[in-house]
Amino acid sequence: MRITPGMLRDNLLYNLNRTLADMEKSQEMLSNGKALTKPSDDPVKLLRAMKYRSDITQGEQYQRNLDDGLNWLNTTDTALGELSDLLQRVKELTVYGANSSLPQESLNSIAEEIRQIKEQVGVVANTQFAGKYIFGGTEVDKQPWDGTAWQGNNSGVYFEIGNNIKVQVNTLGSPLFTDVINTLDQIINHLTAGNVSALSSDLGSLDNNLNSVLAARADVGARTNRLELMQNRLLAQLESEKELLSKTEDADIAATIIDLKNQENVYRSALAVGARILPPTLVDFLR
Amino acid sequence: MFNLSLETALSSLRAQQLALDITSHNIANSNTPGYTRQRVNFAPNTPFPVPSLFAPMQPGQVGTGVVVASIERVRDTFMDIEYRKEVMNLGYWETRSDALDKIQLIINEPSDTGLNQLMDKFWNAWQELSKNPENLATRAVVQQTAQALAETFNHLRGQLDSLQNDLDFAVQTNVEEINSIARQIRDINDQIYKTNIVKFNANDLMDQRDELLNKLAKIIDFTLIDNNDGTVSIDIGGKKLVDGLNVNSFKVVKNANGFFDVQWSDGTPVNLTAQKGELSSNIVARDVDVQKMKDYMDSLANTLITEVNNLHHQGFVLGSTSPTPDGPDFFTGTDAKTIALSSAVSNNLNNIAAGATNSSGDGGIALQIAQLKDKLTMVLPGSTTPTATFNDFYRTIVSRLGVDAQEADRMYQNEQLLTKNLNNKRMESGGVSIDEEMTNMILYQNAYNAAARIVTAIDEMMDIVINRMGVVGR
Repeated sequence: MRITPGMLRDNLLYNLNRTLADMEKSQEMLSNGKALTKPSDDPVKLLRAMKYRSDITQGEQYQRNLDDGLNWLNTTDTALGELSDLLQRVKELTVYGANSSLPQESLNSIAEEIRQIKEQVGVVANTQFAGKYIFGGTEVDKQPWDGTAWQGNNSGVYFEIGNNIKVQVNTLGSPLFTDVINTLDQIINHLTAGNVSALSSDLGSLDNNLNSVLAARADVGARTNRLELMQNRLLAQLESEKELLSKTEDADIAATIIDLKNQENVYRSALAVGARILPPTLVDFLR
Repeated sequence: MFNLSLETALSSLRAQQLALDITSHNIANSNTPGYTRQRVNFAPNTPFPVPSLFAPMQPGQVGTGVVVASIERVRDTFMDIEYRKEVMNLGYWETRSDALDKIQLIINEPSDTGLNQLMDKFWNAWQELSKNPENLATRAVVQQTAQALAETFNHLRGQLDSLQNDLDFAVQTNVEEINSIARQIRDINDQIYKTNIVKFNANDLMDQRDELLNKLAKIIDFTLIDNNDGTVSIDIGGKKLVDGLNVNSFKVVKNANGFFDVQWSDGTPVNLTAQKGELSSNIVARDVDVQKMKDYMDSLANTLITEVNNLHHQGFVLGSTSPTPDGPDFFTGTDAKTIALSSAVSNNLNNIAAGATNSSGDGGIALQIAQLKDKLTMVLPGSTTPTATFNDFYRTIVSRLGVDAQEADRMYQNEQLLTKNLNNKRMESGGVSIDEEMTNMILYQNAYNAAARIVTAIDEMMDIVINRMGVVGR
């Protein structure tokens, strides 16, 4: 076999280029920490990495939706708690008014207190969360109770908390508050009219109202539990997806450094060998 | 007697000098691409006397020196054919891998700024809007992410368009190169033909022609025909580009898509079925790889426009008092090139129709649009029914691009190694070795010196005859 300087040069250049290309790849992996920089690096891993990225972005959005939903529900629960307290107070006052033979002035002052309570019920009905009225159905930007009539509607507000899993976050205030306000109006009327005997049936209405509020709170509680459960599950899922993404996409730094060192050695050897084999020819020894 | 010896020595001086010329030529061209080392073939001169009736009577024939019988190229023509075959493949895969790499650069995945991430952000914006449909800030986020998404589609499509135009230009350049090489080969054919008539080896011209053939091989697949008169013919898909001393040519003609088709000068199409060489590769990259990616992008954008608009039309704009849905177009356009935010939406945030009813807190439509991300709307390549979400579809096409690019890159690297090794094989016989040339130089130099010494010896002998003989008694 004949060997010519041209062949040596071609081989040397080819090997230097190949090693340099390997080194460039390793250095890129080290400098950005990613094993995947373009689709052709590993199309299968790429497919997975992109899916994980989407899932994580989507999961984080669900996480935000869950947080917002939970806050909404908590605000609702607090409001309903206040409503329940107010109704308890009305109940006490009504029982007091019904059972004692009080003079009309006392009945009037009880009626006045209940009127104040009715105002407060109106405030509760107009509870806001992040600037939205929570009891007005989808009419979130106007006060559901304007003091005389109910302005909201009976539409649900839904948040998406998982793939095609929607949950209603609002509690419909219309039946609840209008019933309560009707009862309060009746009690006030009966008190001011001195119609004490009618108050006992009002107490029955009041109990019904209290039960409705309790039922609504129980419903809110149940939904809160469900959202918290989803939240925990989502958190665990996001964590494992992030880990999987990192495993798929990130460079193994230790392994890459060792690779790089190996490639450097190969490159140095190729250079050294090149320096030794290229110059000498017979010319150097002819004198 | 002296005369014959002088002539013999002179023939040697001349022959060794010619051999040194060739050695010098070899060394001078040791780095010339495509050069093949040349070898001097010596042969003894016709001996004297030749047998005949009147031949002088002497004991036997005496040699009359040396002649240079031929100067030939030391070349393995079989390896040339093998080498050219791989060069055709190298040209194909090098160009294809380059084009696919450019598409990958344009697509720029995986990244935080690619289409995948932007689509995710787009869906998230709708999610936020579904929670706060009355809020102008969340509306602005939808508007801005939608704008960014549309612009990214436009940008990607524009980049793909210009890559396709670059490839089209490369096709035209390839054709010009082929025509130029064909003309040069014809001219060299002509010179070699004339040289062959006087029985000379046109070594350097043949080298030049071989180098041109290698260049041509990188661009296009052809069959070489040796015409046995020193000329060669080049057959491309059954028609001759160069036929001995005649030359044909290619031309490019714009086709219905606005791109160049390659034709023979008489208008018949060039048969480029064998997938080899840069020309085929440029055409495949232009008409298949880039076109496919453009079509995918268009179909993605088109379905996105249709699906989003369909839902958006069913919605109510913010502050609407209309009893029937009055959602305007959200996107306008029909493909990745034309997709844009409708002027209604870009001019007025209220015109994002988020609600399924006209109450301000209704985000029903926004939620349905956000849920499009999980809807099977896209028809995957090779399938006929929609089985993929927008993101699935995009991921799939990017991954397929990755597979194609990976294959092209692997083939390119293989071909690089293969052509390098074949070239080495070629050089094993044809390459100039300086050591060898130096050895020959010493050989020829010594022979020259020795022949010169013989001339000196004869000179001395003549000196005796001429100057010292016949002086008896002087």
